Amino acid sequence: MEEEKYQKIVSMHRPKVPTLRNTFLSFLSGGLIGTFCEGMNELAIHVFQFEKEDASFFATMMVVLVASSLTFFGVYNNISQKCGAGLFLPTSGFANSLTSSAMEGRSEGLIGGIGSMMYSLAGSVLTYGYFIAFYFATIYFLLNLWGINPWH
Amino acid sequence: MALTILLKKCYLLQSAAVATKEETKGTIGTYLDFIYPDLFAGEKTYESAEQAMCKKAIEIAKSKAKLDEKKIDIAFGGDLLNQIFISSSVSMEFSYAFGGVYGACSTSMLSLALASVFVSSDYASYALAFTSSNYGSAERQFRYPTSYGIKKKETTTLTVSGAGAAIVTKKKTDIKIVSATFGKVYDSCTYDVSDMGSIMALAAYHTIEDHLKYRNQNFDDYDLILTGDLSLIGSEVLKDLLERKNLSMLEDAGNWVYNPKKRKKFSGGSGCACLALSAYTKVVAELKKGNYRHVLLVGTGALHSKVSASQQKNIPVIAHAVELRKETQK
Repeated sequence: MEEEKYQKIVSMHRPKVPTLRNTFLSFLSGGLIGTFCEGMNELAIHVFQFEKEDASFFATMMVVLVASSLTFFGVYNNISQKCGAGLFLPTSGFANSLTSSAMEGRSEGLIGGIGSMMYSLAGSVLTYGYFIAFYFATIYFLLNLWGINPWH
Repeated sequence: MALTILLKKCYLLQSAAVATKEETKGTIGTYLDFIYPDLFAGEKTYESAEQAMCKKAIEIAKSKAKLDEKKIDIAFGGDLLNQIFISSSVSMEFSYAFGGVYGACSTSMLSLALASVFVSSDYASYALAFTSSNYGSAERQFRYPTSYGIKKKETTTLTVSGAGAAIVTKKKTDIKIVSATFGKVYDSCTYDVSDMGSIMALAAYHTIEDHLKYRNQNFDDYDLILTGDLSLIGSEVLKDLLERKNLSMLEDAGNWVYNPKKRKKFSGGSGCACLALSAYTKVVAELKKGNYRHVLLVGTGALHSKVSASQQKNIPVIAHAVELRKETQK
């Protein structure tokens, strides 16, 4: 069997990805999360009298709370199958990865299970987040040493 | 080239299969011996649930056979988890020898083929073949946590939750195990684990062709050629690879168990238990009734690991086949 022939047959049967529909659903769901977050932000500022910075923190926490709860009740993965990147990329995706990994690790105990497995998927987000933060902080520090302040 | 072994005086004594409610919604539901309400099967973890299912299938097969356990000489079994832990742990309770095997989703036929060869060669009077898989434990092993919200591709197959067991004997029964074909490993030329059906179709194609050539048979000689878990897409790939028309006898257990055309279960079922459930229930029952007279079961397996997939190594694929024939009573 020639590899080329086999690959041709396989690609012939591969279903087409509905890119337009997926993009629209991602846009819609991502936008809804953004709207929810903004609503929470406004609620925190105007009802709970939070400072602006604290309000955005509160809004993010609310997204985390909702996403984790939906994960716990086994609903999140069903919704995300339809919404794709719209739920995967925002903080909700991060919360889902932490909660689902922690839930999966329960059977291996608190240390070897929940504790270590919680970051098995989200670990790279944190690692490269720290790396990028360090990288730009170093540049900022060096520029300051040379008397350049990019913010002014 | 695959190796086909013609078996002498080798029969299937009894078989049994257990699964969850989800597996009853396809075409094999009414044939199952025991149904669990969910993936956990009353246990705390997916792994314990798989152990319970595996034990149950073996127990039912033994009780249906009304066989004294001491008569069994050896058991061949395997599953999808690291170090085939489920099969090994279940075997702790056996009073007989155990040969642990791994052929990924082809394990059902690998274990049945080995059990048959041992019986046919007079190394065993009775041999047990069993296998199991569980969606939860397999997802953990090969993919992501079950509640992780990553979008799955339409080509994805879902691991069937259940277990199957069969007892092979020299004593004449309704079902003769005629031959066993041990497949060769092929390079699927891809590391994409989201389309297992298409890649295993390559191995199924070679094993079926080699088997028919060695046995000097045609497709029309069979009432049913049942592949393990090629699913909706892989089955079509196989039909195109075989370049033959009118392959109405060619079906796939992954489509039987989940009926993905009707139920939108991605591309269908997969896993060790997929073919075991179909073969040890519906196929055996229909052979006994005489609705099938000649059947070829083709277990297909993708022999990758989570690490090999992460390192983008090509997935080796394999297929093993077992030929069954309805024995005419004289």
